[in-house]
Amino acid sequence: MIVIALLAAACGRGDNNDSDATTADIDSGSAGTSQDVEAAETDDDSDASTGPSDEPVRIGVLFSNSGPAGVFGPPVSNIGQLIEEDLNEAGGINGRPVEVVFADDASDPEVGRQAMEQLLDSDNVDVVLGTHSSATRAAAKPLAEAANVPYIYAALYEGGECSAVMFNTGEVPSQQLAPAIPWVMQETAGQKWFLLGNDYQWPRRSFELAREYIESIGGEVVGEEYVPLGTQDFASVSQQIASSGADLLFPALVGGDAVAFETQAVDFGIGQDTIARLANIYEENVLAAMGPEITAGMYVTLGYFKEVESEANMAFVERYIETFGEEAAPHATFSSHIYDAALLYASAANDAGTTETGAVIAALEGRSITTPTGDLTITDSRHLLQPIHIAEVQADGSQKIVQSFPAVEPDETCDPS
Amino acid sequence: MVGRRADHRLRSKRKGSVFVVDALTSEILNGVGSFATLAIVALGLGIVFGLMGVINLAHGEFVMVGAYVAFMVQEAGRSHWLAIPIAAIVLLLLGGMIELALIRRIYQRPELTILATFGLSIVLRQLAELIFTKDFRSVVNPVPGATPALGVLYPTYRFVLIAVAVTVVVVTLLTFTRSQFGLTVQAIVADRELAESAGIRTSVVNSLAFGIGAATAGVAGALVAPLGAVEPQIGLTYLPGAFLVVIVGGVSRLWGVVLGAGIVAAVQTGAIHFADAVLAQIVSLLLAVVVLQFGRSSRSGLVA
Repeated sequence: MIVIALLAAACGRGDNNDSDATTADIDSGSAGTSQDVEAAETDDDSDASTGPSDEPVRIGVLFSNSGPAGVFGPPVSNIGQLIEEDLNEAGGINGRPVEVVFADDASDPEVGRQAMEQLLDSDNVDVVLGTHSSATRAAAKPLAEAANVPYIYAALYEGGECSAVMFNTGEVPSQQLAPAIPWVMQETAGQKWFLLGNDYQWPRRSFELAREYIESIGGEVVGEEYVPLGTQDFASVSQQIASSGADLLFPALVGGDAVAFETQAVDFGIGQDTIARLANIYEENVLAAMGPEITAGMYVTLGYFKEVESEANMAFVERYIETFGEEAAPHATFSSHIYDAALLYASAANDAGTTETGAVIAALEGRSITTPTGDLTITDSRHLLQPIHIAEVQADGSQKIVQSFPAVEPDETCDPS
Repeated sequence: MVGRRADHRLRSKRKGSVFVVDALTSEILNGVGSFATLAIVALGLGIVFGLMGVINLAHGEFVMVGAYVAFMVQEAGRSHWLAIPIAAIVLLLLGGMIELALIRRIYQRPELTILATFGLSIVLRQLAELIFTKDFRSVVNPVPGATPALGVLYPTYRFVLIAVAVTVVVVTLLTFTRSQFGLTVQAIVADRELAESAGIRTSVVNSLAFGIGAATAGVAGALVAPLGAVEPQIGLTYLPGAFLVVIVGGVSRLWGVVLGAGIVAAVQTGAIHFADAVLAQIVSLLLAVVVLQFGRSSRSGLVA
C-alpha cells in the first residue's frame, strides 16, 4: 500500500521536478552576474569613481530556460552580457553600473511565480524584463504590482494586458497576424485554415483573433485543435489536419512541441508543400531543430529577424557572433525584445534621473528609441509601435525577409489609472 | 486488446465504406504506436520496480541518454539502425554501473530510492546540458515518408517503431519470465537470502536486471529520437506516461506493463479521436485515480 502511495506521489512529480532545474539555472545566472561585476568595475575605473552611487542598477530578466520553451533561453542569456556592455559603456543608468540578473520559469507558471519572487525579494531588482509564457505572466504580475516594480513583458503574446506597473513590448496579434494572414492568403491562394495550438491562453486568444482576420477577408477556418504543453505524439492531430481539407496552417506550438509536431506531420503527408504554414513563434532556434527539409517554404511573422537589413542590425549581429561564437544559439526575436526593453528602461530611467518606479513609468510612456530592431515607440496602450516582418524559410534553412511593415500599430487599449 | 479491434476493422473494411474505415484504421495504428511507445518506456520502470522494489525517477533520463546516443551515432556518420543496439549496450553498462554505485546501497528502502534516483535524474540532465548544451538536436528520420498498408498510407518510421518496440518488449518479458536468468531473478525476488544461500550471486543478477531495465529505456530513446527534438529535458515528458502505465497495469506480473500500456493507449487514443488531446490527458489521469482508488484489492500483491 505504501508503495502505491509513493508511486502516486512520484507520478505527480513531472511538474514539481522542474523547480530544481530552476535552481541550477539561477546558479548559472549568477555566474553571469560575476562577469557583470567585472564589467561594472572596469566601468568604475574609467569613470574614476565619480558616479553618484556605486550601487548597481539591477535589471531582472524572467525567462524560460528549461521546459518546452527552454529553447528560447540561450540567446536571451547571451544578450544579458551585451546589455551590460552597452549600458555600462554608455555610462550606466544615472551614473550607476548596470547588472543583469536572470531567473528561469522552467516554462511553468508556478515556478515562474517563485522566480519572480526571487528577483524581487532576494535580488532586489529595479525592473523586471519578461520573456516567458502568458501563463507565467499571469502568475508573476501580482508580485510586481505588490512590490511596485516596473515589469516590461517583452515576449510576443495574445494582447490585452494592462497593469499600472506593466508595459508590453512584444508583438500582439494585431501586429503579427492582421497584416500577415491576408498577405499569406494572397501569396499562396489558400483559403482554408487549420489552427493548431498548445492549450493555454496565448494560442486560444490568438486563434480567436486569427479567426476574425481570416473570416473578414473571406477565408474559412476548417479546424481548430489544442494539445497539452509537452505533447510528444502528434499522430492523431496530424491525421485530423490531413483530412480537414485545409490548405493553410497556423501552428501556435511552443518549442519542443513545435519540433515534434513538424517532424511527425511531414510523414502524414502534411508537409509545407501540401499545407503552407504561417507561424508566429517559430523563431530561428526552433526552425533549426526541425531542419531545412521540413521548414523550407514556411512563412514566419515576427518583429525581429537577424536578417533585418540595416547597418545597425548587421553590426549588432556580427558582434553577437564574435562574442559568443559561430556555434552559439543565434540572436532572434526573444533576445532582441529583451535587449530593446533594457534600452527602453535605461533611456527612461536616465531621463527621469532616478530609478524610482513612478518616475520611470511616466518616462516610459510615449518613449521612442532606435535600436538594431528599428524605430520603436511605446504607445498610449503601453504596447509597442514596431516594425513587423514576414520571412520565408529558404531551401538551406536560412530565413529571407519577403515583406516588411516598418511601423505596425498595436490594436490595444490600456488605461491603468 | 488493441490488436483485436484492428482485426475487426480489417474485416469490416472488406465490406466497404472505405473512407470511414481508413480513418479508423489510421487511428488504430496511432493507438498501436502509442501502445508500443508506452510499453517500451514503461517496461524498464516495471522491471526495476516489480523485481527490485526500486522506484526509478531517473528512468526518463535513461530515455534521454538513449536519444543522445542516437544523435551521436548520426554525428559519427553511422546509420540510425546501428543506434538502436548501441543505445541498448550503452544503457546496459550505464544502468549496471549505477546499480553498483548507487542503487545497491539502498534496496529495501523505497523512500530512499525515490530520493536517490531523483537526484540522479538531475545529475544526468545537467551532464547532458554540459556536454550537449540545451540546444535542440535533431536525429534525421532514416525512412521518411509513408507506406501503404492495411488500406491506409501510414508513416513508415512508425511501423518500424512499433515492430522494434514490440519485439524488444516481448523478448525482454520472455527473458524475465521464461529463461534461466528470469528464474534466478524470481528466486531473488521471492527470498533474497535463501537465493544467496542457494549459490545465486544476487549482486550480479541485480546489476544485470537494472541494466536491462535501463537498456530498454535506451532503445526507447533511440527509437523516439527522430520524432522530435533531442534535448536534456525530454525524459521528463516520458516519465509520467510510464508511471501511469505501471499504475494501471500493476507490476505483480511483468506482463502488467503490456496490459497497462494497452489500456492507457486505448483510452488516450479513443479520447483524442472522439474529443481532443486535452480531454485525453484529463481522462488518462482520471484513469490513474480510478485505478488507485478502486483497484487496491486486486493489486494487493503489488507490495511483495
